[in-house]
Amino acid sequence: MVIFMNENWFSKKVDEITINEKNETTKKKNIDKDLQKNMAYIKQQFGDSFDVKYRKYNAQGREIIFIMVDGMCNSLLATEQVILPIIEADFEGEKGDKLIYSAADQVSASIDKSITNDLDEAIREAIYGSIIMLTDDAQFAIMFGVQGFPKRAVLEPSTEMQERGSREAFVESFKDNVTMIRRRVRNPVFKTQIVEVGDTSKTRACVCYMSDRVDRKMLDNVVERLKNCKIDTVLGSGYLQTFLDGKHPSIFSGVGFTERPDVLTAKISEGKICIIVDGTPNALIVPYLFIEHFHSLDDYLKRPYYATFIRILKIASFLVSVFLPGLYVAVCTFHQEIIPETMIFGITGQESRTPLPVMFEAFFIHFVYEIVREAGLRMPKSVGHAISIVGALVIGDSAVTAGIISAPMLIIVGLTAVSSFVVSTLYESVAVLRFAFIIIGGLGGLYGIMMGFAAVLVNAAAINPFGVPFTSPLSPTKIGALRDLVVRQDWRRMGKKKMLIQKLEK
Amino acid sequence: MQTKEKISAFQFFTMLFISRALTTVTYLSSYTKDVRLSDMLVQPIFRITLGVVIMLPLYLIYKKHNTIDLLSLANSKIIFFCYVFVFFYFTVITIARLDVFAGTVVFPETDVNLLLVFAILLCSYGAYLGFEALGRSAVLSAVLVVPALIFIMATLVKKVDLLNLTPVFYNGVTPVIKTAFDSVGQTVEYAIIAICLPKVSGNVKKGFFWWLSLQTLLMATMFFFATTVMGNFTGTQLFPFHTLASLAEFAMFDRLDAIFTSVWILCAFIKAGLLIYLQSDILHRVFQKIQRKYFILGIGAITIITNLLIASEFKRFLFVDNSIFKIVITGITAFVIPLGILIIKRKGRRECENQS
Repeated sequence: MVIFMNENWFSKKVDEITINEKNETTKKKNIDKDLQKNMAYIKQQFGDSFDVKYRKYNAQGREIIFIMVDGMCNSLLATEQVILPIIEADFEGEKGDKLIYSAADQVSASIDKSITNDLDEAIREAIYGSIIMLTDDAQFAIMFGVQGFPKRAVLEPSTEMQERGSREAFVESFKDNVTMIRRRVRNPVFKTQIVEVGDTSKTRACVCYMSDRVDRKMLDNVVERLKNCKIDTVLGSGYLQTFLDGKHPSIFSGVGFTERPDVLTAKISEGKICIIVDGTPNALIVPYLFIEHFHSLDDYLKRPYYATFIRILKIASFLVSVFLPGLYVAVCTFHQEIIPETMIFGITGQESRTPLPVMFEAFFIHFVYEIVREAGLRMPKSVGHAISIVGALVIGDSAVTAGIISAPMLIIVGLTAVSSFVVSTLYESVAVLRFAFIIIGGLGGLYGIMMGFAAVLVNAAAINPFGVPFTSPLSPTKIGALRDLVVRQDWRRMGKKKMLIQKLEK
Repeated sequence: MQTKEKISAFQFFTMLFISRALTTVTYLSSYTKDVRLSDMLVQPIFRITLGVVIMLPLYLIYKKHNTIDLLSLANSKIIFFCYVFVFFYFTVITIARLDVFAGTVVFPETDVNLLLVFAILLCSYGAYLGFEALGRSAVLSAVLVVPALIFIMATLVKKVDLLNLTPVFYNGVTPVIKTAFDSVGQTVEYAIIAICLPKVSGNVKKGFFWWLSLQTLLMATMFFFATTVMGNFTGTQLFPFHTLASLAEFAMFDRLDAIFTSVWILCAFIKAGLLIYLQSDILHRVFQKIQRKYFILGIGAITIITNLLIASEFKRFLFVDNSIFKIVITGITAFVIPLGILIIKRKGRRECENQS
């Protein structure tokens, strides 16, 4: 929104719009001088929608119409700051565009206001909670931002818990989200840019960055991709992930996400670009590197040695959650000689009593686990305990007692399940890879597992989100960035030099 | 060579190190029949010297023409196909050796043809993803391969028996030099360097000497452990270093050959992927209208067929894996062709100077 700053603003804005019009190639519906024609077009667009309100007033012989969407704007604010001052004002013979100018600059007390000569834009703004003012003989309309739709309060993060970080999480309103970042970066270098996405939904995506450190080419590329994404409706940030990811098909994504404003602030301070999509309580981050999945805000709030330990733990958990079931299947099926003597009798004894081959057993039990997890995610919280009991006792203990699955396999599943939540942002990839490695391990043994690993490795190495290799800074190796790879240096050393994402570009 | 995709000297020589490590860890005992195992510990000195000598023509070429690659200078389809053939041959040998290993050691009672097909498809996929992806994968693989090899060696320290060492040069210097010559002559990496240098940024000279030193150090270390742990038993094993790894113990784990197998497969993937990539890239230069991916598909298919033919009998593998043939073709592509180009270019320049 443009805020009125001085008296010449209107004429400047009109010039600006005229220049932009010449540059624009897209068709738009200009506001007509005939108010009735404008109203006919608006009514045609909205049809019989009950929530669209039209209020007609006669201010000293001039017809003024206010258009708003009920429930999207704050009625009290609209009446007090916009409607009342305008209908009670003395316009001293002014009409048409002059009246619009006076109403906007001298009469209304509203802060958030802008003008347009595009009727479609005015309609979109009205849908988003603005109140639109049209009058006779005017080719411009004023849009007063008096949004007042119901929204969720700022709550604690639900998926990215931190011990010592802030307790704020993003909400659905992108303006509130931007405010949360603005509070953390009290510097004008923090910039935002709005891009509309979705042919029908016209969802607002807010591109956030720090102008003093962002790579301009990368920024232009992100904005370009957002503008060019061919999608009808955008109901969440995930819709845009594919368009930002690039064409290289991979199980990993070069786009990250966060629901924490402090994490997002940290990312943009590294020169990255974040996209907050209206209606989504999490933001997208580009480019996002593989190693960042193992980093968290807590790492930087705690002592370096502990942060390093936690990172090693997370990497180990990731490896366990992806490879352990597959390795177990491979070893039990093809390479029993690797199993230590002290364990081999126990494992083979247990496995010999189960009806299914190890690969099918592992596949089956992991499949059941995913069903229980998915059910737990979607069901009402009140029945959560019941599902846990069903999962743990009936499927787990009883299946072992009945001889359907072996106890070692149950241990593997348990360990894998717990480990997979340590790096929750990689869960999607982990779940799919785990099943893939169970099959590969069952068919090709260690030989197959290593081939699968090599495939995943080269696939990840080929990802280049916005010119930054996904496997960076390990490969290609950037010595300077290694200080915050697995071992984290303390702030006295790390704080000296900014670690910017541009330094990792190939 | 198209220079769109560039990688750093560190990535490139890491890739070559991994590629060479494969040849080292899959060393066949038949190669050492003329020389005593202890002599293999001093062989690196000769290897480094020979390595430097073989690279001299190439160094002189790139010193003058650091932006133009060898193939552009040669500008001959025969030379293009010569390189394609060498790379194809070494791809087949790499996969075939992996196949022999899988068929005799990992799955002695299973038909491994399907795994062989998957291995080639995987390498082709790596080649399809390109030079940069392979370079990055090589560095990531090195992060796993080097610690894995060090770990295996560390667990073998307690089994080292220095009495197994014999006096060096017991049979004279000649067999040692001959083995070093054999070894260098079979190093396809020199031909790869000849082709890939324009795609490498950074300090190539430094990278080359690090690579040469580290790969000879790796070989010497492996031979030291093989000789001191297994003694003359080394010569009786088809894959002596695999046997060495299976003797390694750590805590309750009696065998660490699984780690060794993992190292082998990772290295083979990088090496074969790189070789397939280079073949497709050179062919794409000759037939520019055809996309590189179609060449990769074709090369993959031919490699599968050739390897299936070889895999059916061990004798065929031994016939194809001919050391003299390898020395000849590596010598031509890594030394003779660059030397020829160097002489022709110098002669041409002198003629120009005389005319002017």
